Amino acid sequence: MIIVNTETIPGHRIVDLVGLVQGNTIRAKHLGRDIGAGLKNLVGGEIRSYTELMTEARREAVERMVGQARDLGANAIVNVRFTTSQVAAGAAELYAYGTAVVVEAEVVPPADGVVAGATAVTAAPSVG
Amino acid sequence: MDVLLLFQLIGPLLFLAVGGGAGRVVERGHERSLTRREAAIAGVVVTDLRHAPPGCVGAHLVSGDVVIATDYGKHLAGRVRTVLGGEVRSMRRMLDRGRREALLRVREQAASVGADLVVNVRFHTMEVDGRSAEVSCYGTAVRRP
Repeated sequence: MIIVNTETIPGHRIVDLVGLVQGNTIRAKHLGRDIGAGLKNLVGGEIRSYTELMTEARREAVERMVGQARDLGANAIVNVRFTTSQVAAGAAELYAYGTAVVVEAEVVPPADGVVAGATAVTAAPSVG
Repeated sequence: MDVLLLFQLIGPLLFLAVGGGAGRVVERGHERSLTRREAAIAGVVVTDLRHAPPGCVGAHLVSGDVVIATDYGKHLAGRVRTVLGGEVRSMRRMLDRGRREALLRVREQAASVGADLVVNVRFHTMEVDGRSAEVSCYGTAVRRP
């Protein structure tokens, strides 16, 4: 399944608009209790365990969105957007949504401009 | 002299010194790493324009996330600033580094799928705990003709 955050997919044409699809994950953070994160808050820098948690949450949200699109018979999702919000103290939701579509690859016409399968139209000979 | 009182005075100052000193080392190290990796990935161009130029192939959604924190000393300085008003320089530097890191990860992921252009790049920042923030970046990676 092709997933993009643009409205169109280069080299493809949207033939059917299936509808809005979504996926979300809620992850809990316990910064105060996590020893590694507590140390980082002393010296600064990236808190790798939380980055991994976030990357995993994004992957899971996208997977749920893709599952929904697949069930609806789509083969691509366009205009994907992500939002994050605090839902409770120490918990945040990652929400992914996009438009599920059916796309087909665009046929690129050859250089001489003749599309395969087209028949040349000639003037009908006059019946004498 | 009361040892407990001495400890109560020295303790936080020690905390601050270690945090500030080590914090500066961590920050410089990260900036050096960012500069090095940005030079290495210079072939992958990014834009926040919504559409890919005609003829591009191979569209993939790419994303980069980072959760970044300032050190204890800068955090306290920031807290003082919220009372006095004005720019919180330490947070600005931290978020700048976070954005650079997130964008680098997007470009590195794009390169790993064979792309050399990322379009429709979007950023999102969320506060985690008053002293750390989540910066995320995502876009569509394509290969130019």
